[in-house]
Amino acid sequence: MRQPQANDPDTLREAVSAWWDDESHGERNAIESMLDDVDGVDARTRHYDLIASRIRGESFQTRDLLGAINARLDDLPGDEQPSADNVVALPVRRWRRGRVWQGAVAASLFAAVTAVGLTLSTSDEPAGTGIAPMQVQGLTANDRAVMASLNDEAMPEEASPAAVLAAQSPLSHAVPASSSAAHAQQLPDWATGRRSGGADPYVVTHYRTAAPEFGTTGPEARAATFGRD
Amino acid sequence: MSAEETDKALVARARKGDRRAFDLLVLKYQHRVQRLIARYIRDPEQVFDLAQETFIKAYRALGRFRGDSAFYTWIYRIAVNTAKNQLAFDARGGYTVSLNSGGSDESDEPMIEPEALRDGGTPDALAATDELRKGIDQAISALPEDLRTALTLREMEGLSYEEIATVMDCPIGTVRSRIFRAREAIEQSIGPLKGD
Repeated sequence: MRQPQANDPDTLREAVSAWWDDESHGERNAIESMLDDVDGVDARTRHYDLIASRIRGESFQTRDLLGAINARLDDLPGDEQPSADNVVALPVRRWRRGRVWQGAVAASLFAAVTAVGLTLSTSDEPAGTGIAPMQVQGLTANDRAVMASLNDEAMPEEASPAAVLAAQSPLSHAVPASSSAAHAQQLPDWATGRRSGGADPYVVTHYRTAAPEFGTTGPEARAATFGRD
Repeated sequence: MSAEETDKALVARARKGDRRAFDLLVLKYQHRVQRLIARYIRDPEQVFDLAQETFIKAYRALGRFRGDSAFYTWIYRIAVNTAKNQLAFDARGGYTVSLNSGGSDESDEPMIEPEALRDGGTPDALAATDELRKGIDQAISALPEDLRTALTLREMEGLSYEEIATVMDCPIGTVRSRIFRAREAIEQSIGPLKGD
């Protein structure tokens, strides 16, 4: 098959005819030639359209649409001219932008967690200070009276919950979580070897769970048989 | 390079600022776009304006044309949306000049010749259009049978070159040549009528 030559007028016109019919194939030279002669292509395709319209029995469209369009395009502002710079972001670009945002959030979270961890690990205060891992809760009046007696504290005149609570600091409800020297004094006597200590709050708190058959009447016996002696 | 690839190559050049490439796309699709819009809008002046609008929109949106679809489907979609928007505007009471308003909206009459309308439908303009029409008819009648058949199958039936080649039992290259030569012969015939 003869290859079209850009400088062959007949071949170029035939290429225009085929191109107008969507039947051009592999004719880069013809396209380049058409780009160099847009006016010629314009005139030729106008004729083609006149012929097609007449064969189909349609009306003639002979107005210069290309000229009207170009007049309007000339008036378009520069930022509305299509160019590679004006290309709307493709999904890949949006994906990258999203990844950057997610990375920043992840980095911030990591930094925050690391900072908190470092602060806690380098703190002078022993771990557990201010934290009450096990709180004595739901004590009955009898429980509090038992605790007061076992801790060698003054027995309140009235062993009412309000009176007991008033006599104890909030930390006294916490189970010691550290065996450091600073906290040795807060440990129960049975743990430190001192005999004068009171009852283990854990025992007092959990005796119902450990031995529910004792009920509320035998906390002393429960404490006595817990192996401290 | 297929026709679709050619269009995409032209789009790529137009996006880089080559207006000639966009001109070629307009030349190739302007008539199809106007015919498509004319299926929605009866007023030829409005069809012309909406076709302009379609290509202006396409030009401004070239950066968003990713090439997922063919250019012609993209431009057709813009044209249809533009025409439908106009219909919706008209339905809301938008004022438009319908030069065909005197006829029935449901009729299938062809559009009035824009040239004649623009010229006020003067007898001279109508006569010129009629003369051009007759000139084309005569030129087609004078074509050799094989050229006329190839051109008619293409323009009347919309067959592809390959389909025409099958119908006429000849190579595709021959079909391409016959259609080209038929157009050349008619063009030479009507040239004087058009004042070229």
